[in-house]
Amino acid sequence: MEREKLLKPGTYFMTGNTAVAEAALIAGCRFFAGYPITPSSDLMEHMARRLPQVGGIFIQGEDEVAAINMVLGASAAGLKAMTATSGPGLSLMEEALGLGFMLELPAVVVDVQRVGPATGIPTLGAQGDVMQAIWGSHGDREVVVYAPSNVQEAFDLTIDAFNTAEELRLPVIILLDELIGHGYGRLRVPNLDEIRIVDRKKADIVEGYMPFKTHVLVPPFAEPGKGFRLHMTGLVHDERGYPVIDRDATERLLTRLLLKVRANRDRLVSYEVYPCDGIDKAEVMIVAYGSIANIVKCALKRLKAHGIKAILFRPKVLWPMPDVELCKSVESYGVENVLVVEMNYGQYLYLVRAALLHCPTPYRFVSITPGFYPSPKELSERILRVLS
Amino acid sequence: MSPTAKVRGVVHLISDLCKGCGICVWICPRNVLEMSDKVNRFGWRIPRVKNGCVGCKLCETYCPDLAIWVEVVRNGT
Amino acid sequence: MSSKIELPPTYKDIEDLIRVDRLPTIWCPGCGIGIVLKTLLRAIKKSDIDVDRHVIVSGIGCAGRVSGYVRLDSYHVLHGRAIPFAIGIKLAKPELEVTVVSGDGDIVGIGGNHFIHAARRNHDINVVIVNNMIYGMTGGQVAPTTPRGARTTTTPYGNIERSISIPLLAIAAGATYVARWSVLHVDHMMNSFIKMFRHKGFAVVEILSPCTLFASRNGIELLQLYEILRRKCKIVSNPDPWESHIDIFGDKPIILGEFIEIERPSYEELVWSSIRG
Repeated sequence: MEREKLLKPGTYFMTGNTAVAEAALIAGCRFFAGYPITPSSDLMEHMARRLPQVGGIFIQGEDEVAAINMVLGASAAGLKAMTATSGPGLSLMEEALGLGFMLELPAVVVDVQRVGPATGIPTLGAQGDVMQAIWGSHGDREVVVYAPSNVQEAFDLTIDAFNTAEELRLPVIILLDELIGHGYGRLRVPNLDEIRIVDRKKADIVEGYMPFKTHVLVPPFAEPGKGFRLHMTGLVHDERGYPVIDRDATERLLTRLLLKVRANRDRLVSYEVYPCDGIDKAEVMIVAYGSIANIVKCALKRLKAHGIKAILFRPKVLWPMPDVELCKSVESYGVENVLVVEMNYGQYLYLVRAALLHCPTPYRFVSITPGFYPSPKELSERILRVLS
Repeated sequence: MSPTAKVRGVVHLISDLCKGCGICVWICPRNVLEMSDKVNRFGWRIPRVKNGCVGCKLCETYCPDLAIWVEVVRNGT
Repeated sequence: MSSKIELPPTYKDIEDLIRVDRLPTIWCPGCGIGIVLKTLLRAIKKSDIDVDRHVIVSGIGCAGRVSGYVRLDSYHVLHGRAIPFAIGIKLAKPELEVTVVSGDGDIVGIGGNHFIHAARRNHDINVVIVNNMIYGMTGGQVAPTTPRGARTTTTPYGNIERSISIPLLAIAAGATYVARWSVLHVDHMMNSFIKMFRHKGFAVVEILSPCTLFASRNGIELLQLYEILRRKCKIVSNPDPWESHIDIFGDKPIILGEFIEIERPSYEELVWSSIRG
């Protein structure tokens, strides 16, 4: 049985890319289509070896556009499917993510970020794909974007990503960066039956079944080859799945698709306030995510030594954004200064700024040169300079 | 007497499906069809059937809109 | 469509395979795609494969609308990306018979890279290319298949580019069944469709289809384009792909026929046998 081929419960020491791949297999991923790109190729290589062992399908496409469209096809056929790429590849995949959204096809896209734009520095990590991940495709499209900050979270959030994709029937994105992807870290794998695995709700043959007719947000999924005679189209469609040019049908379809994420916002939002205990007042709140958040955690100790009480607000799910929660933390800790620290030149900054409209607080931005991780000492000094 | 002489076709038109493209008129080997002045509900001019149809069904075969069909009638049937 | 449209009785055999409630189709009067649609459905009905196991995937463009009219599991996906989507379905569910139906612009224009590599890997899918030698849906722009000299909205002074030969490209890339007919060759088309369903590997059937925009842009009536096809098409048994280049207005005959029919292990066969070991 395939189950024994999955990663055994226990503690491991592995890279983020490998952890994502193994988590995907545990989550039930049985299809991977990808294309070589530093720094995510090793994730693909791992899948090339492991998927056949669990009865899954691996294929390397001729380009990223082929890869993501093969993923959508496999998902349409009923398989849990994923791909992994980096910034340039994600740009090529954006159109298809829009199709996945419109056809309501679960899929997981891993973006192991590298320095951009263009070729940038392929071997060095960055956080420059945040906007592209959240707003990349065209038209009004919703997405869920995960941002693990270590190997354990790379594993855990991959499971969550597959569950969300299956539950809401849409493509989701996991943002790693090269440091997490290639860096080794500790991974504890629980017993498989302790891990919540969700499969998409399948439709059963019902006379007059209408694939998109639903009073619920997420219609049951109809598989090909079962006699549904279903039609899925990227055109705006009515409940029967037929293309239609009609205001009500357009309004009904697009609002339902968007509400799948927006109405589930409270359930999807996930963040951490660090340190979580031993502190109830903090004049400074640092907003950071992914690998940079780890460096901030170390820098907090140094700031404390300089008499500055600071906390880290770290979204694990970048989108939907924990804006309400951020403001609550600002108020509950009595924060007077918000500092956004990102390894780019301002992306999540704009969302933080928008969130602060609800609890006006001075904010500053610390941009870290993409590709060059600062030491905690260096970062704390920069923060001190910005605060003074 | 050629075997087809005894065969006759009755051409039927579903005017709601016809787009007045004229392929049937063009392809009919006996020039049995011609465009009429009648217009269907979409405003397309539709063909008219003269007699002399031998039931070869070319019009039916090559109508892209499934709008014309031929009922083959064998004399004496 | 308010009034319930009744199909002629002669279409009883495929009535349940057509979304009759969506007729008449979107295609212009005289467009040949309708002929391809009904022939394909007749072939599906005659194929020994259960109708519920047929899947149609189409891209964007006039021929891309075929997936909307077939009452089968059908997917209308992105421009140029029907082939990878279809490959995803076939890899995930090899028991399905997956057929891509799209146009020349969609398959060998924007989708050319996928066409080439899918042929190279010999995926077990069928690709029906309705070649009207122009981008019709968007109003009649030049396509990779537009003959040199032809006028389109984007070649108002005459096309300076040499057109591609789909059979030659398909064979060079590795397709293992390649045939070309025109919409006027319904029996041959039907025969090729039946063959492609049985064929294990990448099957390409190109169907030349007159387009009213192509005709009007080049100062002729659509039916004159049909006449050109009727006069110039020449069916050849094992035709030479090197002779397959089309010059619609020239005097060279348009070569039709089955260009290649060989057996090579399909990608799906190889990948699934390696998994099942």
